[in-house]
Amino acid sequence: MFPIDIHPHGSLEELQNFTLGLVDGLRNLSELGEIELGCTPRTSVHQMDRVHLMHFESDKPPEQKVPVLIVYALVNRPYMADLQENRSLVRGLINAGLDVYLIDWGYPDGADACLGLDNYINGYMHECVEWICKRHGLPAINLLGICQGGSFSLCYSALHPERVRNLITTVTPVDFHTPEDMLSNWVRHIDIDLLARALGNIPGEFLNLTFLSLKPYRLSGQKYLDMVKALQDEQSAMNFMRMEKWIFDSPDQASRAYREFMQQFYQANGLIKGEVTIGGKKVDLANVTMPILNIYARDDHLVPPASSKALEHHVGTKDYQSIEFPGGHIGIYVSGNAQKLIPPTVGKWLADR
Amino acid sequence: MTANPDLLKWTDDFVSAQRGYWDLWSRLAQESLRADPSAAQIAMGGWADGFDRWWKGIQGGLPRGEVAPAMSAVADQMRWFMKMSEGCSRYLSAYAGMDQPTAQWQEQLERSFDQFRQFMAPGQLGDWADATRSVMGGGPEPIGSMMHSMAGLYAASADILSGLKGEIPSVMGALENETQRLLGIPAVGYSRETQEQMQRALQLHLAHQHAVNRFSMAMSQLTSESMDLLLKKLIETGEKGETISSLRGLYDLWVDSSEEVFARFALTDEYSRLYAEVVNTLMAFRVHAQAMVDDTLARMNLPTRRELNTQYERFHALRNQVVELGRRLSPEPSPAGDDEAARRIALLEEQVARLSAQLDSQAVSPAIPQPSAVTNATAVNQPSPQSGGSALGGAGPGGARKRGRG
Repeated sequence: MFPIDIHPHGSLEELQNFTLGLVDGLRNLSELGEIELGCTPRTSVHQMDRVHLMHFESDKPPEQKVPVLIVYALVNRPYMADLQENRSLVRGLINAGLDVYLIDWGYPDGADACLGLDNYINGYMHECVEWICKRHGLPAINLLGICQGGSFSLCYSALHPERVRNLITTVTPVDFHTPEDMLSNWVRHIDIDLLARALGNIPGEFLNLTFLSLKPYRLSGQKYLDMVKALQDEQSAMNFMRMEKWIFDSPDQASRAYREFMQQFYQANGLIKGEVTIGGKKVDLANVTMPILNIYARDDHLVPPASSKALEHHVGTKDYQSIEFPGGHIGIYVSGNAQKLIPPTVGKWLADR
Repeated sequence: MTANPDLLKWTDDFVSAQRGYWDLWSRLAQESLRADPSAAQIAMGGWADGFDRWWKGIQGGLPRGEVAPAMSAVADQMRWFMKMSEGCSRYLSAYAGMDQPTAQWQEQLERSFDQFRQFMAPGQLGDWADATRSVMGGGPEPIGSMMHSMAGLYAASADILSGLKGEIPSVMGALENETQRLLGIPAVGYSRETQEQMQRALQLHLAHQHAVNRFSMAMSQLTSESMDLLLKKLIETGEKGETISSLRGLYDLWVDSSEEVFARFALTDEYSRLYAEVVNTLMAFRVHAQAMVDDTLARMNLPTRRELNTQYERFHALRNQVVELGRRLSPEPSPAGDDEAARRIALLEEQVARLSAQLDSQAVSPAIPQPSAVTNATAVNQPSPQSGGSALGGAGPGGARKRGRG
């Protein structure tokens, strides 16, 4: 049978529906007002330069004594973990009985260009952990790393294992040279020193568009046709615009930290080889002996599942568990499925330990 | 959400007017199609043109702020979608619904798809390039978003050669080697250094253009392969006895095909090298341009980027030294967990001291235990209020105190 059964009248009707859908969507868009992000009440309890340690408030006291610190990536903004009422990892963790902190890295500017991984991991991150330990009278806390923040958490756990009671990594790149890692392939031959020298801090827009280019037709094209449908309802229009705002809210990367991360992790694949050096010390994943829960996304186009799953073979812990989430890199935090699966699983896993 | 009643009314009026406009347009298009079914492509093309004019006309009334870029992206996609509908009605719709033997419909499909492909190809219809550009996020077709971001970096650089941008590509085509040879002529005279710098800048710019051209050619090949795959998928659909019954279905299949072809290529070493060449040559040009600007600023006794970077480096080194010294002078504050251990040790010491005292009293004479030493030991292990601040200079627990780090 001839596979195209598109008749002119039907085509016109489709065009009409699209166009009228856009017209109607204009009404909802014009009434959106400011797009607010982050739904859980929070307080900055500690500040270091531009970095804030945020504490999320809860109506009831946490059931679990040991708090969890969410370590987000330097790319994009951490409010993705608390996007809106019904799509909030933070809210879910609180409901699971946890006391939740989060590191907000802020927006680096030119004066931060020299900040390296040592500053981020042994400096800011370590200070946050120490601060929480002291406040709660604990020798160690739980870490939950997101994407690059997961890699940071692994490094931190290897360098300061005495401060990490349990480690949860989510969509975390570990083996940076898996065959399906597009991003890794793209940076393989780039002169990172030259790039950092030319640009200073790496513009967020550059990274952002690079990420969109991983699936250019879907993320920069098809998505906007889908948007017409999303605009038909105020709530879904707001949801769409929230995600859109988050996607394009991309801080610049401190030049040195970017250089070190790209060269040591992406280009040299040093994390699994034990060759990453931070603050003069080698990061040896064998030192990561605390219990680990590794959550990866089956359809992740940024961090292929194989990259995350490699963790099991390189850490020193005897208590390792991994979970495959049926979704993508972002869906693991904001999809409806994720709300039902991720926070309760994390809560129970921590409670068991 | 805004609740301004005047604004709401204005929005309602505006939307009603636009709806009325498109309802009318739609009715006219359907009627003209009924009157003359062969005029389908005119109706589709007219719709696309009408959309363009309408969009330009309502720009002033569109929501501003955060939603504006998304709206613009939607409009870009709609234009492409409409253009595709025109191509479809011209070449693919004629056989819609026909149930023929496989060989026959496949031959018809391949023939009509060829026309569809040509209709979409750059040069035949400029809109294809525009459409793909919008699909890919604004960059030169089909390099896409990545090139768009590169263009941003170009503009953001100290682009002292911006006036030459338009000239160089034309030079590139036929005269590239000759241009390179001319740029290699040694500079002479009083402004020799400046000439050399300019020559070097032009060489770097040419190298970048060359890299962009190579990348563009590779990506153009992908566009062609995407269409091949789309045809293959259509044939597979027909062989299964299924059909694509909507423009959106055809569009989605095109997106799937394009993504599949792109992903295959983007994972190759060839892509990696082509992409790196584009980035590296651009960065080399940018570094050189920055150095030229710095030289000019230095001659004017104005601060340069070089100097600023040096200051940042020194400041950062000093800062790290201060942190390190701070750590050495006052050991890291003991986390409370250590305090707990210290408390237990102190308790044990206290018990030992008490037992020891009891033993002493039994052996010699009654004596009072000396808990003060134990108390002191405990006190030594308690963090002092002064040690609450961290090596990084942050506030201790107990508040959102801000402390600058200079």
